[in-house]
Amino acid sequence: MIRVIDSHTEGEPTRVVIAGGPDLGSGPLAERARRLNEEHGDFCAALLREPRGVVAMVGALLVPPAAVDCETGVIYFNAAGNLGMCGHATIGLAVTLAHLGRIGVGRHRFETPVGVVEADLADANTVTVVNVESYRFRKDVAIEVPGLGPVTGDIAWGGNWFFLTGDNPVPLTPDRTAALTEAALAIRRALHAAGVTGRDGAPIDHVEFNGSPEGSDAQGRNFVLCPDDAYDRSPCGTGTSAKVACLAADGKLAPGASWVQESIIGSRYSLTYRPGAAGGVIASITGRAFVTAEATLLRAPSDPYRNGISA
Amino acid sequence: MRSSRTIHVISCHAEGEVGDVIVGGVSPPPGETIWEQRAFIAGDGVLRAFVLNEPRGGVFRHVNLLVPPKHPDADAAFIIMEPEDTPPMSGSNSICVATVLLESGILPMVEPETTLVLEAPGGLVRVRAQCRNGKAERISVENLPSFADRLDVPLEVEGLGTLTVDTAFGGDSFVMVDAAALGLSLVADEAADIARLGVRITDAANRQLGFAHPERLDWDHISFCAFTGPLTATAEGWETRSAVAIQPGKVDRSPTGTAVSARMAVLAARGQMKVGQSLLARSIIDSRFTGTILGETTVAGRPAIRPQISGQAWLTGIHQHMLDPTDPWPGGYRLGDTWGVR
Repeated sequence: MIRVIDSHTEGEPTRVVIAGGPDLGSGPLAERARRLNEEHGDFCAALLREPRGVVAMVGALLVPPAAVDCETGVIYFNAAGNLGMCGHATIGLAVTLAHLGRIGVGRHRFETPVGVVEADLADANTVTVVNVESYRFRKDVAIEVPGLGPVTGDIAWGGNWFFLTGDNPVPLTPDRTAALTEAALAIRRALHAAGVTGRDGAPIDHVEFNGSPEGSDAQGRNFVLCPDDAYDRSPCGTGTSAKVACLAADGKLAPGASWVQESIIGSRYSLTYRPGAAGGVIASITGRAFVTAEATLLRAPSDPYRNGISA
Repeated sequence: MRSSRTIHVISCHAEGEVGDVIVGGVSPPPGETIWEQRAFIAGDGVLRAFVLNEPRGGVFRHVNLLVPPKHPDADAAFIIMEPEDTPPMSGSNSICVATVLLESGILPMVEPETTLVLEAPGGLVRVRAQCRNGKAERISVENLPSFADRLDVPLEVEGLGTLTVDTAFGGDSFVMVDAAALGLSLVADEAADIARLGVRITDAANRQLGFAHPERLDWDHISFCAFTGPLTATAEGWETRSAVAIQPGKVDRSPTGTAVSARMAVLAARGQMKVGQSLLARSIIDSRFTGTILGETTVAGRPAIRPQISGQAWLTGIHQHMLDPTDPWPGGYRLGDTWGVR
């Protein structure tokens, strides 16, 4: 039996596994995350795919931390595999741990496979996440995308690798999500085909369109396609960190100044940053999460779809 | 914990098609009959939005609400909530409901066979469940009387030309089209095409052919498009493939109990099936339902069959759905990329 708490962060779902996950042994978190990915893909698929999961859901497996000063260790994954860091799921995790009575208002440290992240719980729903150091890797990379023509964008790290562009094929509105998804997939394919990567050859698995906000008190709006081919319902914490890293590198956003980013459904994150040690930015992401369900998931041995339906 | 709504759900799928069951936390909707309660749920929309929409649900999710039965013969009653419809009956959902009722202990399980009478909005359905070691291993549902409405009628579909189709009722209303005529073999990688074509064909059939149930005058539309595969003879009857496009444009993962019933009604009307014979139908993901004609009957004087659908369901979880009072999306949201292919 798998015990989970479901929540959504500004519209984007998270499923935190609080009991019944696979035993990944001890050792560095990155090593345990690799084991989850390589040896327990069925478990991850069962949680997130039909008939047990919902579209765009991110899983968060709680594990004992290797770092003694951390509240918990956590490995994030989506239907396509592991995620390094996930902003919305970290906000969902903090709200879930508060819901369980495991943490209270204040600052907490979580260990992820890509480093320690800090989360500040302001009330039952509002969390500020201090992300890993984000930075722009390359500016104004031009690629030729079949069906779209030339597209120019920046490559940046925000805990995941992003290609950020303002060359939006259609407006960033909820009724255009199908067209935006197709365009983002085409860009990702073109990046892979052209051998354009992040640092050390890391594949770029997130594509982010950036545009103008609808609200007068917001600064930006985005559409982010995730590696599982679902787009982020929230403004994407790591994607907005990558955006802020690019703004900082261009001298367009000062340390401490606020950047309010809208998602494709109009939900919001508010970000500020301070300079990082390696020349990038340490972004703080503030958003809200809401618990939607407590559940026990069942996987009967005789169930032909115990590992989900793969289509 | 803060929650202004607490809804208990046992989640389930029948041959791949999700049919979750609300077992607690919702008071029975107003209405003198289950049909009237169904109409309230459909018109009110609040419960449907909460459980069917993102982020709690998704287009592939159906949710059933258990309500106290109204008919003296019924053991339990349920209202089916599908993405767009709140229908009279559903094969995969009734199999999920029966499985949840027995495996969760809401109704007593008797091994090796339990018989139940369920009250669906469209009427009573009789259930036989083969049970072993606390598991309902096979559920057989006697579906609502099913009948062919129009056979071999032309249907103009823009971009496809003139198709020859049948219309029929199998617990829900169908336009039925030969898959081979559209170049389809009803396999998984055709899912998007089937969903897209099915919505267009259903829309065209509603405009040009229409449907009215002779006894339920407010069920006056064609709900689904069924793509029918070729028939292969077996010792018991026939074997085939079946794919159904459900509004707003998704493909049933199961072979669709109501479609199998409607197909058998059409085959009976053509003299290709008789009482006692079976139709084994495989879905787009190769899961199976077996349909059997139990007997003949009439619906408002029209010849009809008493169809039975058999299949298996599996419990997938136990959930307590909650609503944080400050949640900005108490009714969730729907977005066009996943909510149908229109």
